[in-house]
Amino acid sequence: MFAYLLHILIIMAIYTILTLSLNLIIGFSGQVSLGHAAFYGIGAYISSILVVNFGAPYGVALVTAAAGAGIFGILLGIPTLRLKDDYLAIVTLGFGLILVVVALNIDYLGGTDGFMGIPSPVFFGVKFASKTRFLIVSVLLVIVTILFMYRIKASRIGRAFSAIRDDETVAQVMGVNTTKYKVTAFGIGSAFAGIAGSLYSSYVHFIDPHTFSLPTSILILCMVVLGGIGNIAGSIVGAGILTFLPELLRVVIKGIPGISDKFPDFQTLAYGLLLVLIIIIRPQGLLGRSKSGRKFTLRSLFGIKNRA
Amino acid sequence: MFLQQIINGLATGSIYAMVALGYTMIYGILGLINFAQGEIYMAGAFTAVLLISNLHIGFVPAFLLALAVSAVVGILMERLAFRPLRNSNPLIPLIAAIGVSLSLQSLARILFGPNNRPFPIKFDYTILDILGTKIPMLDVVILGASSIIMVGLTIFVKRSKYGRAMVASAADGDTARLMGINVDSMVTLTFIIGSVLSGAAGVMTAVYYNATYPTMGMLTGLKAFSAAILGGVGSIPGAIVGGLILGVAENLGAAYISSGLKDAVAFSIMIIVLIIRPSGIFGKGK
Repeated sequence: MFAYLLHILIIMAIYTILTLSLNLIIGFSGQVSLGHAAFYGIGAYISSILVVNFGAPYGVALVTAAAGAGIFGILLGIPTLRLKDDYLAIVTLGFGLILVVVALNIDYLGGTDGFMGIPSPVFFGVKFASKTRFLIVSVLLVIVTILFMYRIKASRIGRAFSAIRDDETVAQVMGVNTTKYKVTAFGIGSAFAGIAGSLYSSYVHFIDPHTFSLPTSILILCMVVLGGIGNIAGSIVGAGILTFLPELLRVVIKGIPGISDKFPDFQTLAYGLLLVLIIIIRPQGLLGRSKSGRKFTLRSLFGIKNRA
Repeated sequence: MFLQQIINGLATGSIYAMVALGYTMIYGILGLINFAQGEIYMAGAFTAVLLISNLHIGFVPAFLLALAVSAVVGILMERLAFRPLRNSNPLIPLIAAIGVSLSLQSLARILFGPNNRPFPIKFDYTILDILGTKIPMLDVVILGASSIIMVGLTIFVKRSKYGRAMVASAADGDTARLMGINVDSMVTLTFIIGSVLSGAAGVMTAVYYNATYPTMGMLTGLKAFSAAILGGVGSIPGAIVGGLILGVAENLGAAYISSGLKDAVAFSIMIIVLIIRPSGIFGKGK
């Protein structure tokens, strides 16, 4: 039971890093990305290849994973800068899908069989194999990420991001190099996703491309939006809730007699419905600030408008 | 061989085009990417298969009932999940759509089981031989049926009173309201049309591939969405052309590059087109 709890906390930590990194792209700079899991995967593969095939120390692999994912983020950022909103969303989505298909067809990466035998992280000769030790590493990385996010939000770069998010033309007029900052946002966000990927691969010791496909990208996006777009604390809460919710539903649904054989489907059903319900009750996200100050009523649930 | 691939591509492309029309029309009027569109397509296919195999009714009434069920699913979706979220950041209804999509998929798995169901009626799978090119009869039928539906839709939107009211609501909701158009009913009408098209595409796919399964809407939904974007979102001819291009490109990619990379080819082409023309083929640049 304790080990199970530790496991959930570790997964929660990994998702917190992912959510914070996507929040930087979506919430701070206002660029939509539906392919975030691809960078998570790039980080995971770079780190695993370096450790397994080249015998690199974990610290080096972690940093290289971040750098590699960041470079991919910049490479994706450059051509997509002309695109906005939904066009950007679909291109990032397509990019994620393409990378998964390509990874499945590259034998060096293990193809459909996945990449196996990834060791636990080792720092300064200490092996972080047990769940307790691994949790310490994860929490430290989460803290670093959180501090980084707060610092960057308050910095010149962060202000440039919010200027672009609020009005790109005005930002440009005020002398903000929008191209540079949009690429920077993609680069930094992807680099943190790479860190999460490296962490994940050394935790589960096995990776395959499907882990980093669209459903994961969507899950991270849901975490960002649920917590409140642009809100750092919200991202942490969003990641926490959406990691914990399936586990909670598992316990609840397994207790209902008669449906235990189909429980994964009932779990997804409840998860989907709850997602819709939460987002209708709090469209601005759990910690987001409401712009219009609209309140949830039973009438709004059925689309009945209060006529003035 | 080449011509045959093109015809196959046009048949699958016309299915994408029909789902893409739903995406594009709903996007046009609400600015909403309805991620759950693929699930309506799945619902249509399942209704037809279940009605035929369990109640033994004919193909035509089953097809019509499937369209009705798709429309009901679409209306409920709009009422319960999207209407409360109007006028919010577009990412927020997107999350609601993802939630709806997850729920409907798992509901389908609970009700029908995870396995593939073949279509209960056997169709004419003969292959025509026209000047040495082998063309499956089914391709021709699907291409013909979807063309009739799409031309009909275009005429309806362009010429009829309701169609014009829909266009007006999409162009400027507030002004449309001032002109006496009930924008809410137009939104419902758009969802009905989009859902009926997706449902029809679902039944046609179930016949074409002889397969129905709970996750069938996912990849088709994504591809139709890409097709809509490729053509220029909000544009009806764009969705049709985008769907056909995607279908043909995918078939050619599978035939001449690698079938394993089929989906990658389709999405790569879309990305390249968008980088060259950021607002899609028929989209209006700002």
